[in-house]
Amino acid sequence: MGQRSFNPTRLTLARQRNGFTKQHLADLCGVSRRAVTAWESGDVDNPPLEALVTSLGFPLSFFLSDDPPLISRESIAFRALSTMTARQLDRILATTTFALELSDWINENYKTPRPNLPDFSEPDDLLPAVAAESLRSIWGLHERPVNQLLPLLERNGVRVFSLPIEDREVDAFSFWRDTEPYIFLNTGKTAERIRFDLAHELAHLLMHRQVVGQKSRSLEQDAQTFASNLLIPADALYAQVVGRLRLGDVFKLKRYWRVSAVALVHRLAQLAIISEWHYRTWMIELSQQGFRSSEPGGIHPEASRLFKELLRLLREDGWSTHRIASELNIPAREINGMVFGLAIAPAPANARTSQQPDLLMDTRKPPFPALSVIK
Amino acid sequence: MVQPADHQVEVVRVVPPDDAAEHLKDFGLTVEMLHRSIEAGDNKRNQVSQEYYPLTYRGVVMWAETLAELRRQLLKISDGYEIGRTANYETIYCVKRNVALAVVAGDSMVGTKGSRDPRLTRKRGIKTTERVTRNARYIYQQGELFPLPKNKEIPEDETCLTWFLMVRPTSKEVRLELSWPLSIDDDGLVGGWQKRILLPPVAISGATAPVNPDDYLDDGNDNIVSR
Repeated sequence: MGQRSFNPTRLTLARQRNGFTKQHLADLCGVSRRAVTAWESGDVDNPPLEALVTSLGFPLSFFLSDDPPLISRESIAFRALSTMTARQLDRILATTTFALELSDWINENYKTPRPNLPDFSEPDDLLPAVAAESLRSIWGLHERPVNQLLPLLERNGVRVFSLPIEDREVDAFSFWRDTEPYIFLNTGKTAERIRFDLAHELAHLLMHRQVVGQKSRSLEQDAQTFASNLLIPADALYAQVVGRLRLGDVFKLKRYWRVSAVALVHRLAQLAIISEWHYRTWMIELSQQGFRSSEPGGIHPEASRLFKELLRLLREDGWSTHRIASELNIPAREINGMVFGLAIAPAPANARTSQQPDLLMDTRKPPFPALSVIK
Repeated sequence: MVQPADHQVEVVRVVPPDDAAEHLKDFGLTVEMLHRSIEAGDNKRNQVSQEYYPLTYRGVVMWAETLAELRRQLLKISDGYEIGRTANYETIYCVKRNVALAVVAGDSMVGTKGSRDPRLTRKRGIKTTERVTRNARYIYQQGELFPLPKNKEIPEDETCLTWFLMVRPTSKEVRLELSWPLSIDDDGLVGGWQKRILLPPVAISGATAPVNPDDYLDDGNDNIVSR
């Protein structure tokens, strides 16, 4: 390998990942904003790399690496964009870059399922409910609940990553890189909401491939409808409800379908299984019981099957997070952040920490007593 | 034969639920048979209680399915019971026991010994009035030792005394009693009862079908990552 030179794209990426403005980075390095602009423009061959390493927390090798795989914001199906600043968005986009690099590394070293998603982007007037029913049929789900949606997606070649804790302004987002589908999740939410987010993003991947980035209310609504139909199929619910429901029945049904109580009541009303009056009354009741903001008595979070198996193989093969990070020229914290909540879950409640544990750390000595690997 | 114990016109006699089984023997009935009938009606009623169905349909279904199951139960025991529907008045009757059973809907006092007797929920027609009047005539004539003549032109089911299996669904249970109506008031509702056999209520049916544990089988166990 020859002498590697400074890559200004990498500097921009590291700055954005940190959520820094150019001015802030300039202040940290003791230079002018204009100097930082010049570094990032490639006008300077030899910026003060040591200062950048210190200020940005990225290894020296990172700044000397090839151009990273960049995903444009236009190719991403984002939600909650309107409430985000450009800086927040750039920080999250930088995460996707590292996820792509990690994904490539996984592909080079291990065999994983190839993408196997049907294309529902044509015809463009395909109803989301019909698409969801078709997918249920293709995946052999028919009228049964989707037990574990995350592993099901992974089995069909969807790469699912976690949004780092500090980047949870968005619910979830998804995109295609060539033929590979990706979903990024906010794993800080309830297990039921995460499942719904997964189904929502799956809708974008399946149905909106041609129009991704064209954020519109109707596309979002279609994705919601798809998710609702995928997780709670109408015909099964029709057959299941044999009487006049009471709110107590909702809890039984939502546990069966593994969805939130609010999502289930919404579905019942949408299918006219309950009256508009019941819908309003029950929503108020659920809100008073805390079901709007959380999910009392909810299900356990789903775990990534891919990462669980991968971590086992990595340990067997002698890989550490730092070694992988070193291969990718990124900080280990970036890797841990991308799988946090998927392969490593925070134990409930009071042990929350802003730090993410090392996914390949010796599990006999967990650094955070309240953190546990999801079984 | 089912009749007042002393053949006299007497005040309403209310049999508490705990004693119901003993009194039902006069009909060849058990509490379980009545409960099964109510459950059949309630289950079907629930199935048609969703928004898609006409509102009045659920009551019709409950009445029809309860009566149908009651008929099945009584025909099954081969005790002389037959289906009665003379003049479209639907009963299950037994000449030997001199009883015809009809299913009717009652008000909130059904199944309880409260401050007043229960009433039917809607004004009854001429056929019900005839039946109840016949009940009254029977009682009074029995008291005066003038038995009801067995007119051969009267269909068998109409010669029998008519008892009501009276039903009242609430949000939690279906209340019921087997009662002998004695008079119809001017408003067309039953105004008096000769005897009321209160029965234990039936818990209302679940609104959701049972869960099949095999429903959660979408995960394969084969590994998805390999070297």
